Amino acid sequence: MSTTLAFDQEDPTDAPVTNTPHERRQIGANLIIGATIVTAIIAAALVSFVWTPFDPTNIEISDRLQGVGWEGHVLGTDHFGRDVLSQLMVGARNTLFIGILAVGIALVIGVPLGGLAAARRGWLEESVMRLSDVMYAFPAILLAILLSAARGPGTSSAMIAIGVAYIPIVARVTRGAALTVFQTDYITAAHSYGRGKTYVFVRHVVPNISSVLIVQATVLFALAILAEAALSYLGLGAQPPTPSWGRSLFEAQTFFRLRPALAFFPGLAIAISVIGINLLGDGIRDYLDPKLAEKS
Amino acid sequence: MDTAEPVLQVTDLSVSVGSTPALSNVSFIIRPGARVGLIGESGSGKTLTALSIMGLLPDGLFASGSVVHDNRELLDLTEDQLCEIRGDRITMVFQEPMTALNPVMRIGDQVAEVLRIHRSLSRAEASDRALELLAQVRLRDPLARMKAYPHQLSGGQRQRVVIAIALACDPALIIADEPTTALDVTVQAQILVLLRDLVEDHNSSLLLITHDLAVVANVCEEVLVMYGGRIIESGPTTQVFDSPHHPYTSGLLAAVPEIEPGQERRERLDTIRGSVPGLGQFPSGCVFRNRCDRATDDCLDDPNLVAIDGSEQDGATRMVACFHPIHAQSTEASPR
Repeated sequence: MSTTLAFDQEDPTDAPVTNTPHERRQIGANLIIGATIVTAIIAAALVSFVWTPFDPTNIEISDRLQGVGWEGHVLGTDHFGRDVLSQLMVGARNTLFIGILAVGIALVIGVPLGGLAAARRGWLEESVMRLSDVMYAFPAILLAILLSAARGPGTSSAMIAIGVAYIPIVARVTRGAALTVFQTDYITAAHSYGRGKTYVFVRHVVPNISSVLIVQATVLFALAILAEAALSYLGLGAQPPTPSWGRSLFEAQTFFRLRPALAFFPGLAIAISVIGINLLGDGIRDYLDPKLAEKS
Repeated sequence: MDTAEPVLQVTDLSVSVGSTPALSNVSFIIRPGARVGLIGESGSGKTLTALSIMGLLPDGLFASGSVVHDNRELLDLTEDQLCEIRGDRITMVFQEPMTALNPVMRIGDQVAEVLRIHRSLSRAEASDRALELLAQVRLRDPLARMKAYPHQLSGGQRQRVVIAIALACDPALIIADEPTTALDVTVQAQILVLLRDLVEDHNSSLLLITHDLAVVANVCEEVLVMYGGRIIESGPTTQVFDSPHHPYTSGLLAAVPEIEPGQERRERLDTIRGSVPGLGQFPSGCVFRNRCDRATDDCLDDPNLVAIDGSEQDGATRMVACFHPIHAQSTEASPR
């Protein structure tokens, strides 16, 4: 058979690659600010292991409720005369620990569940999603009280309660994002390369929904910090004498009229870290997405 | 006469969407090294045929009949067994190069992935081989392209990458589902020539699915014409195109505008009257009878796809499913 098409010319659209993705990637302001804040918190937590201005649990009743800058207490002292800055630094450990592990629990269980629902459809999807509805309907605080009753109150109970409460959220977000990705041609193409659904999910679907997951994880991380503060405030989180931002806030409540600064600093620490983590999440998403990088 | 075992033997392949048949009794053979065109309008079941062969039918659809490759009944294989064949022995080129590549993976990694799945190569070996393949599909500056993301490439370039992935394991059969439909006309021709040459170089067979008659004429030596989920005519491309027996094939060919230098432009294109019915709205008996000028009461029965005597050429048999076939120029064909 002879062809009437003799096209040996170059593909006119076959232009050389003008730039590599890395050169084009921009580090946005979000990323810089977020990373700075988060690094500062992590640094404070790490430094607290080896050094704090004062012993954070040392009680000096005579020095109680001193103002900012009093005798080397940069942020003053609380009602037991403990150094506020030292308490905040050690409290950062607690906050990060709870945030990381709670989000970790939620991701490790939620992502496979959501992926399973999206990949298999049918009754399995229904069961997973209805189960997550049930979990979603169950108040996290109640779960925390339940766990505290069963295991005793403490950081780990709070962490598990928060993590479990976030599983349905992660499962839902994963399923929603994965459903769209599973419909795409490149996933059909990936199946045609000869691997099963699990492989395709891990290798092709997860990277494509990673930006959604990263943002979700940072939002949840920020929420976990708030939840930990709330639980500690209710006495279900870190137990005395373990310093915790939430409990500092709770204890400061009593002296709010006398020393408003006592409530201000833990509150500020919570607010700044929540903002910082959110900014970091947005920044990472923008940085990782090759298409967004191209536009900026 | 070619006696070699066929690369693919499809027998009575049927797929139903709910209770509506979408594919009915599709049978054909692809011989080693053959380039077969599967032609038909949208909704005629071309893509469904491809997906059935690959075992990639959407959830809820099931294929019946038989698809035999390498003495194995593909429809009976488990998912794991199918995975060994997919991407290795039978591969697929998709219609939309814009969406057939994973947007967040580098080109090189995507080509290397198939090799790593089926050839247990190390990362470096797979990467080297991927580079070779990208060079084979004549992507300019393949080394730089290895690191590029799909959105940095044009449609033609991406389709070259998709072809490189399909060729990676020297498959026995490549199924190309409208590989050039989404491309510019000039790029189309290049991709087709490339595909045709590479299929030959890799000793593969090709099932080319298209609605473009010119594509089939240029690339394929055999053609299968589909309408309403059935194959209504098949045979060597030249014979089918020179003297179509089925009124539908004839109508399709008449509907192609001819632009020849010096020839006066025709005022009107011939068309086939009516339009393709929706799924489940095809008439009983011959699916084409409501649009056919030759239809009679005979056509209330379902015509079988039968061979036309004395029409064999290079092992390909002329077949037609019609009670009143057209016998233009072909004197040897006799009524069944």
